[in-house]
Amino acid sequence: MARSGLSKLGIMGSIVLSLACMGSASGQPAQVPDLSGGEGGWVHPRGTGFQPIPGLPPPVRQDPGHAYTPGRGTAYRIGDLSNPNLKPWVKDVMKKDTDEIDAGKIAFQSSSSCVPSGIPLMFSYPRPLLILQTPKKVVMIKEAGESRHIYLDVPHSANPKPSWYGESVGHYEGDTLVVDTIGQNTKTFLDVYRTPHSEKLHVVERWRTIDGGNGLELKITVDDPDAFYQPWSAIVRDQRGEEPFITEEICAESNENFGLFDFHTPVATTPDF
Amino acid sequence: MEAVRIHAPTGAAVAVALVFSVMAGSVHGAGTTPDITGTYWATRYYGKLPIVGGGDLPLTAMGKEAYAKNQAGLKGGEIADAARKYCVPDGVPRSMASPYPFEIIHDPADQITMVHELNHQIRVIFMDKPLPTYREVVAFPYYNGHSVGRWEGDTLVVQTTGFNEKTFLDATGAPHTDMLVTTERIRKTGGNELEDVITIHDPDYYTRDFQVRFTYALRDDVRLEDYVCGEPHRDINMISGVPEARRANAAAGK
Repeated sequence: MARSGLSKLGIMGSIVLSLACMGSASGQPAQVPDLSGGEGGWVHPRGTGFQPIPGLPPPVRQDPGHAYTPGRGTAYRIGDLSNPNLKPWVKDVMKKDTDEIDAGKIAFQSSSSCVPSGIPLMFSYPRPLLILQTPKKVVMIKEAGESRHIYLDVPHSANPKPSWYGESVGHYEGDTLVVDTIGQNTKTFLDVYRTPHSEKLHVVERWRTIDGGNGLELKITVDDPDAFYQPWSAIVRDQRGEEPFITEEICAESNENFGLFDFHTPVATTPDF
Repeated sequence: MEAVRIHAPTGAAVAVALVFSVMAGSVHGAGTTPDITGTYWATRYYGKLPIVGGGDLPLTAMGKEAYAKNQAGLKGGEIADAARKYCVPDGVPRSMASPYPFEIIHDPADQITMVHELNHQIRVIFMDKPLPTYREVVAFPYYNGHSVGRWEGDTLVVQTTGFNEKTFLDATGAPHTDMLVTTERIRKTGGNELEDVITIHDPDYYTRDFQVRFTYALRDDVRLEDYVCGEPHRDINMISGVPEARRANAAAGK
């Protein structure tokens, strides 16, 4: 009798334990994919940020007339404005920027100016990315400064006040974290080419691990009917970083020293409190 | 010998109890640790360190000199309050005096991350690792130091070392050296409150270790917002101590 009682407990216990390990008390789906990249976070080689997805309208790419040759003289990301998906005002803004850069202006990058990149630009940069998951949210932290928050299994607010990273809500679909972002202000650019967007910007991300957990794939769809004729898509493929994630690197430090260039890093002229 | 009889329902209850204790902590399981994941927001702002037991900072002679230098410099403008002007991190304990909300995230299982709205600063606490030695971190000093943590019952004990010398202990300019080591005892008290008791150890400037204490309300109704230096931010005038601090700044022409 004791033996069969114990084996009933054993079976019951192992069923309950395995169910529990697959989800949390709050009623999460059975399997929450583990998007953690380990100690080094997720990285990709510089220059391999937004790649096109065959068959889908592509992201902006480098203008062939402006070679991008980092490390060999001045090199800036300049967008190819022959992309037929760009609406006229977008091209105008970018052409003016390109002309100013050609005349000697330093090209803006959110990472040099220590301002938020917004979504999806944050994921174009090669610096390591940490993905932290709790039952109610996912927080993504980029080495050297940025973080964004995704609220799980809740709808969007009716009229989110525009902010740098907007409002991101998400849910898991099997092995994929699907994120929907609206409400970004127009102070950010979409990519390293400084492609602008409107407040109608709507970004969908699909995150999942690949290569048995050794890789991370992010598929991005950018929908902004004021800026583009069609939504465009891009893919980012990351690997596990080999160096430990640097947990503090402060972009705004550059303001404390007199540098050669003014990157217009934000400063508070009066103390907040 | 009496046969040991475990009835299935009782057995199941035991199994379920075990399971619920295992589920606390990281969403990827498992660990019988308290769960302090959440969003927290101080209900009081202290510009001057709130010393447990009251009294003045127990400064050494060197400490007094450093404090006087900081105070004069901040007043005259030769020393910038970088945390407020350039929005670099506040350091410890000053970051824990923040009148803005912050989040504690317990994921993965061996890491606890604090994400502050203020200055979008982040503190990463590596769990169950030894505190780095001075030599290991002297080349990589951080504003918020290098933190390791462990659980003692319901209390998260965080030790931090490897601070740079660019921060003050508080808004009055209380000084510290790069030998500062802080020990925090963080725990939930009474359900919806979190407390952080921080021990300051910096013998060159302070004659003895002393504690400061901050408390926070659990505010899972609050979502952290962007914090870009110099931009308008959420209203914090309801946090007692903030209007007074702002008035004092204005009076001092800051």
